[in-house]
Amino acid sequence: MTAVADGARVAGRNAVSTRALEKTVRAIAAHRLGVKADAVSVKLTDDSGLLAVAITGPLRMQPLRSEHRGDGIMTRIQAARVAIRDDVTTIADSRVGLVDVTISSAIISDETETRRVK
Amino acid sequence: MTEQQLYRRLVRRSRHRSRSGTVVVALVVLAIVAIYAGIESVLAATGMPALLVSPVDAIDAIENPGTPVLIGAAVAAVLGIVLLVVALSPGTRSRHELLDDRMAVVIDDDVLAGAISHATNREARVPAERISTVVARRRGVVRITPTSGVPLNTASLTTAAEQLVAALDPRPALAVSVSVNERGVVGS
Repeated sequence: MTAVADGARVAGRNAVSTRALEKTVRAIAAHRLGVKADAVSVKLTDDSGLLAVAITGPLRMQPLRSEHRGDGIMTRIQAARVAIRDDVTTIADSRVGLVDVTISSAIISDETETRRVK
Repeated sequence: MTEQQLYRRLVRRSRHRSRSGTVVVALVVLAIVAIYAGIESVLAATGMPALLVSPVDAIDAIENPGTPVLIGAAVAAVLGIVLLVVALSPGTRSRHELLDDRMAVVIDDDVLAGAISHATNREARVPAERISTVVARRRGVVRITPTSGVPLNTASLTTAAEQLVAALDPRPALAVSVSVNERGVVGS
């Protein structure tokens, strides 16, 4: 579409169904939140001609006893939102306006292996 | 009459509404009124009783008008104004002429609008139901709803629409503009 150079144009139309777009965004969001895709739900709407993405899903967390606690939740969500926006722009070739992320629960990483080593 | 004159006349006839219907109705009404006035005059002259109003009473009523006469006069005045407007307005139909050396070509505005939509959509590439064009006498407006996340370039869309109009060259000349809907639709 817009990204295609003028010389490479062929008559006709590219169509990506809403369902396909939703599944793509869901996979991207799940990847960025560190959870499985079927735990994440995605709603796509319009934001003044840009794509508005609303995501609800769990966030992967380290166990409280872990030594690698990483950043705070807000920092991680913020980073995930930026990453989701960039991924959707490059992979789905759609310009993204709003990205809403609602964390509904936490999935605690299983550190069984680490414990065993200890 | 040369061929060109004939074509000009044909095009004019198909681009303008005929007033013959209005003329027929107006003249029939006028004839009925005239016949009735004649009958009343003859009845009055031969001393027979009037059908509705004798001419003497009628003149009397006009000189000292009562309410029914005033209402009748008002209705007649309104009808007169309507007929004047019908007679003097250009009475154009929603059609344009396409110039051609060998033929008289008249195109319906809806068809012209469809062609402009199609040409613009070769540039925009949205589903056909999201683009529509309205063509008036001298102005065409293309309305288009983009796909969310895929911005449209209004300038190149306008160029596409203008190129088609320039190629067709309809008369009266048409100025086209493209307006991209602020809100898009998700998916295509």
